[in-house]
Amino acid sequence: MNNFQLLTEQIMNIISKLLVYILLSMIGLVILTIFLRYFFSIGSISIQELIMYFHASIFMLGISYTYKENSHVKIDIFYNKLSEKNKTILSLIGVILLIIPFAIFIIFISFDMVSSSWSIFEGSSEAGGLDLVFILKSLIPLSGFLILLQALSELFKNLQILKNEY
Amino acid sequence: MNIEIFAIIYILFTFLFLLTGLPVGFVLSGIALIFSSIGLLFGFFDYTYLIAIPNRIFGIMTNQNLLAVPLFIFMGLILEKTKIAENLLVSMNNIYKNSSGGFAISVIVVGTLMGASTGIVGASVVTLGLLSLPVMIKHNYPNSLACGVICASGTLGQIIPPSLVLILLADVLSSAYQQAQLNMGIFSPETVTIADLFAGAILPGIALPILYILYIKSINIKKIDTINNIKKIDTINTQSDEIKEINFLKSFFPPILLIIVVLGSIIFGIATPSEAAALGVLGAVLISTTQKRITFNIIDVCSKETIKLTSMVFMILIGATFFSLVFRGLEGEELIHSFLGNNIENKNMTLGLVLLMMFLLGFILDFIEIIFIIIPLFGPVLFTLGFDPIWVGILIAMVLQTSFLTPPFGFSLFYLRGVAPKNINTTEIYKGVYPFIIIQVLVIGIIFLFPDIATFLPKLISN
Repeated sequence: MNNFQLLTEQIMNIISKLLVYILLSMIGLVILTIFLRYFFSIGSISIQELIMYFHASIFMLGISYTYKENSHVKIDIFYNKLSEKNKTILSLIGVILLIIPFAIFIIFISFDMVSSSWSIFEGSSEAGGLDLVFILKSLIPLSGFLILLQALSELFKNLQILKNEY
Repeated sequence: MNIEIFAIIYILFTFLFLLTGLPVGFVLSGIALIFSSIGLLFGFFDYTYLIAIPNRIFGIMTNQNLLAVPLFIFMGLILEKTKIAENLLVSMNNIYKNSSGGFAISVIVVGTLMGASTGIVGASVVTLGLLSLPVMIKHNYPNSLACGVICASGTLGQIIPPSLVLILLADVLSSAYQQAQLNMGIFSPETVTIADLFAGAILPGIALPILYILYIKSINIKKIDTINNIKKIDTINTQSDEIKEINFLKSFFPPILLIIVVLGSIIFGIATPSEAAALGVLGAVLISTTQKRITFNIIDVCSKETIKLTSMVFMILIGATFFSLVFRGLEGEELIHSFLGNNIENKNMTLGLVLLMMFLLGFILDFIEIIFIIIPLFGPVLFTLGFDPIWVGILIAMVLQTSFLTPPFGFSLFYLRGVAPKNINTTEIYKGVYPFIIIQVLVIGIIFLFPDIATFLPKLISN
């Protein structure tokens, strides 16, 4: 493994730990809102929005981690019949043709939306909501960036395998 | 080149790449990107469709209905990993072992409960397969029957609420339905809620296991069972009935209570689906705490698994959104219209055609892909013909479930194949599920002819 792969792996580990806390906090917050509503008749929009922010972070940041863990759904009826070498070549094609372009595209296409959101520090559209919409929107290019990191790491890994074995 | 032909090539390429075994979400978005770039280059694709993508993703991030997804997954995983379901099966076996077809019936009952609580088909089939297949074979059940019962019961989680299928269906159907109404000039469109679909699925969800049990009762397993019991009575150490009953109560009632509370609070509008799911998580943790089964390690494992499954679902959703935006940009909607036709007189044929297509696609695609890819394409056209969205939703859920069971490509059969002993032939698994497929097809036919079965409860509750 080269330094870049090690760095990516470390980043993904940190993300997975962070997301565990975010998930558990999200569940706690949902339960909290129920109790606040039924016992104190309090409904807090900022808590509701925080739950939503947590939920969005889980999958926007989690997509890259899931990719690293090889847990994205695949249709493997034919894939399973391929030789190891062909599997590696297929993964390489997927990374170069599909995943890296997609990741770069997401960063690029969301740039306008995110930068205009930052320029006004866009807040919630509801009164009493969280004024952090610019951060929520930043998750989109961040997600693209993390997918790109992981994709490059996979690229190196697969190239290495091909070089060493064949 | 003709844009229609280009759109067809686009769909074919997407399916071709899906079959390569690359991650589904990335295939959908990557191929969409390639084809939209080609379209841009030759000037027959509008750039504004691509600009819409960050907004679509933001819409997915802020969608309140989909909040329930990680919560239900987490609840299901806690129930599965703490072996609450497993315990249920063991104690059910104790109760039913003296009646005819007893083990098969306890598999059906536990499959139903697992369907309602965890709702993860793969997990149910694997758990039932690991635990009860050896027991049934030991008791001289025919291999095919044992396999069939396990596959059919484990797949019930698709239709029995609260299920992930119905949650995702509600969201997608609702937007397709609203779009159809807007197309027809109705500017205050009605929606479909998760509660509607849950309520609609209750009758079919109860009918299926009952019909399964009747089928088991109708074939003569009694002989097999009694021969065995004679042998068994001598060997089995006679546990006192009291101990058995306490064990049964302890393992049986908490999960049932949990399901009733979660489901009831959603259907009667006491809590939103995500709130009910969070309470379900709390309940599942409490049950497993009293049974001293939960550890920090289990919570950590379940959390990470939830993060992965949730990200997987949402990556497919993002990919499918990308896919259908580009398809629309290539004037694919006109293509669908001309494919389905606007024939009002023959609208049941149109619906049947779409359902048949979903059934066939169910062989190669997971339900998540079918829901996210196919319904946005065909839904608006269907609802313009005036179909009831709840009825259509239940039919879709039933068809997908049947597709999961049907050889040679049904997902459930693969799951069972993975855990079944080597000496069981794959053809025996195939043979075993046929009776259950016939039952399912019968139920689909009945719902098709009598839509009230699906729409009666939702109407009753909303009044």
